[in-house]
Amino acid sequence: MKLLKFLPLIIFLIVSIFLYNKIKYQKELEPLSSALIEKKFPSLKIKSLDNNDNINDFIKNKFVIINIFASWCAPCRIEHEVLKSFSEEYTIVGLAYKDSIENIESFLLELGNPYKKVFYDFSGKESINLGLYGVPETFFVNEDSKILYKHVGPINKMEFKKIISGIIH
Amino acid sequence: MLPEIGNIFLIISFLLFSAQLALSFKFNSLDLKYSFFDVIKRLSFFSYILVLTSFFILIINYVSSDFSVLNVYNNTHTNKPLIYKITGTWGNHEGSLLMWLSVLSLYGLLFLIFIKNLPKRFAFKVMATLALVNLGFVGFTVFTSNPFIRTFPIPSEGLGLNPVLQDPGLAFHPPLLYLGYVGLTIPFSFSIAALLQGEVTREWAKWVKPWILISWIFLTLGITLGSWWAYYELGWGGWWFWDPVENISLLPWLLTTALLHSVKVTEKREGLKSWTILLSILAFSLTLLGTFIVRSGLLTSVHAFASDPARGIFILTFLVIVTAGSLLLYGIKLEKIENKKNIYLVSREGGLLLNNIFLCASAITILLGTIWPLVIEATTGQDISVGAPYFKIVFLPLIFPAIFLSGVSINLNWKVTNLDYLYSRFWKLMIVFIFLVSIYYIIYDVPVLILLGVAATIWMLLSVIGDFFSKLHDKSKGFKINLNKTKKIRLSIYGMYFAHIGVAVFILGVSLSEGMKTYYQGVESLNSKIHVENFTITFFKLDKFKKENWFSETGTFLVKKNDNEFKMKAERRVYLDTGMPSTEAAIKRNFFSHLYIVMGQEQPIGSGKRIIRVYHNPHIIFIWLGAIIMAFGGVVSLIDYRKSFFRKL
Repeated sequence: MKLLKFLPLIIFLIVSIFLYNKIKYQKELEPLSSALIEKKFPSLKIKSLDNNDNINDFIKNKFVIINIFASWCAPCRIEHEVLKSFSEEYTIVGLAYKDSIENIESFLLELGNPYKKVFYDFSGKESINLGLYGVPETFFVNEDSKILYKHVGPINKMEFKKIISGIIH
Repeated sequence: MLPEIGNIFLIISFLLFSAQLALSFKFNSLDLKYSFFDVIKRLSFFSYILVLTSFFILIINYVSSDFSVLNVYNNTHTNKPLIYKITGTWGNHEGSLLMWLSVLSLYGLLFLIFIKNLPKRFAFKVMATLALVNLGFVGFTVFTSNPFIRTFPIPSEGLGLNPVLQDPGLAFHPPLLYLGYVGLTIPFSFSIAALLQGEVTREWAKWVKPWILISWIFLTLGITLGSWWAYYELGWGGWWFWDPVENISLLPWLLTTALLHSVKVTEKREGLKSWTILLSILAFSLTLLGTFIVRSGLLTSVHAFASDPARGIFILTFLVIVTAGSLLLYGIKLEKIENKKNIYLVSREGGLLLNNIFLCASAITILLGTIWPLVIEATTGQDISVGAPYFKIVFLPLIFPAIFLSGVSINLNWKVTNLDYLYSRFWKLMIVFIFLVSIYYIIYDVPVLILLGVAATIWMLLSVIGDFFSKLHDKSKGFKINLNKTKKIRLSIYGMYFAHIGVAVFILGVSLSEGMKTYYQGVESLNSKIHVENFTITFFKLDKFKKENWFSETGTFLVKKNDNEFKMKAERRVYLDTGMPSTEAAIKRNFFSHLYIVMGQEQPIGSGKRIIRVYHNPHIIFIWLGAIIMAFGGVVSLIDYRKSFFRKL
């Protein structure tokens, strides 16, 4: 019963350990494998911003990099520069996750647009089929719409190049 | 020159607070021959003035657009109107931290004004605790987030203020919230001083009560304004999003509300002493936790500032020192302060205790939902997010019993234990309650959740009315009501009535608007028609022109409801300095409902088609109205409580 007096203290200390843990490992994200790798890109009911294209039709017969982002996601801002530097070389497709159209627009207007086409998943329900972990996530999909690689978290230039060369060889 | 002075003032105040703290540890207030107490008092007075001055210096830098200061360069622009130059001061991490400090200093000064009514030993300990908190925040500002850092070469133009923040809402949302959060430092310091003294008295409760109330009023207003601002300016189309930072801001409010009730029990019945102390420690710690989460970029949120792990570590260390220290002290002194007094369940204090439990339980569920992703990530390495559905599921079952109990306890007296009394008080109320709820259900035939909300509202209003009439009863003249007695009821009771009526109105707004809202999103060309509820909306025309510092596109919509026709204008702005767009929603208000039209970008470009979103939010105004009535009730009570400031303890 003596310990009961210190219960609030004990609970608080446990919580702070978690907080410390989080802040210490804030930037270290491990590469994750996905159950979808080597499988076909799932068929999704996701439309482009202009409502003209469906994502599955758009990525047919080309090598595409699908980047899932959101205007409210801070790491996406950092990643954005990286994507822009590769946007000439590769077809990068954006998939905005749980976002409003206005916010996507202002995000792209502010930071520039590296995407050939922007699709959006307003409710976030369709992205579940992609096994979305959190934004940003980047899928590398080949001409047969097969997922070759999935990167979780913001991607940097080195990683991007490494993945590309890994896929080609 | 000015920024250096501001910087030096901050550093001096840091040294002064350290000196004050060191001296307070070394000596006791009555130790020395000359009045050591007065020395400490002057020391803290001087430090507070220094902090306030440096804040004014930063404002002057903003107003004069001194771009040699990095912080000014990053967050303002010469073509901003004066008001946004001033509010830009706290529209960023460093500036807002300095404002936090200034508010803390204002409270410190206010405390010093009334300090003569307190016993010296006690006041001395309060001042020491305040100095510790100040030291932490001044240190944080100076060492990790200094707003006075210069940049060279001097830029000729600033980067501009985030357009979302360019709204009168920003002028008041953060200051009001800070007045609330920072105000909790005073009850916290009082609690620490009481723990150090080893006694909690009724007089103590009387003295601390108005301070809690001040914080509560500001928190209520600040959160309400934030919610209203998000709805109106940000075009989020809702009033609460269960965003981590919103949740974190709600936690101190819930605990302060609980504290407000428990301190009443301490004052009237000398009960719940340790509980009151614990609540004030936790409420303050949660504001620190909130600061930590917002400023370290730990959680993804619209409120997150640019993240910097160094800042996170600093606040976390400070949070642990302050909170763990206080809770340790609490554990040690617990037995000394609590008198084992039984609380009878069927009494006002019993009702308040139960109500407190529900408020704290809801706070715990919110805290759990907010930090659960961190726990999961640490234990299993998975990234998860807890969304609105969780909060809705766990919050609703807790809030209805809390409202029911609060209605009950208003009508109970202190100390009463008799079930017959309970019965005699409530059978009439119950009949009226059931009658009104059934009438409502028969007329409107609404879903269960709306009915539950309306019932909660009716119950709350009835309980207030019931108590009011019972106070007007002339016991000698049977059932006659004596209106002369209205003057005899204390002002704080009226305040309590208003606050509870506010809760009723708020619940009504939430249940009606959540239950009946509708939403539409689509890409529309000119002259196309949209049908939402019983409105027919025609996209009528589009104008483009240049305003002060933005380029405007204004869409005009013809809205028809039955035979009633009116125009609405939704605007899309592109700011000239940053090139960033922002949307101004068209809102049509009648007293009860909002029709809300947002016009987005041309889609695809060149087609003349626009993204249009339409929301119909019936009765949503009650949400904010209710909150404002709550705060008004707080102010009315405060007028009554003000006497405690002048009372000798």
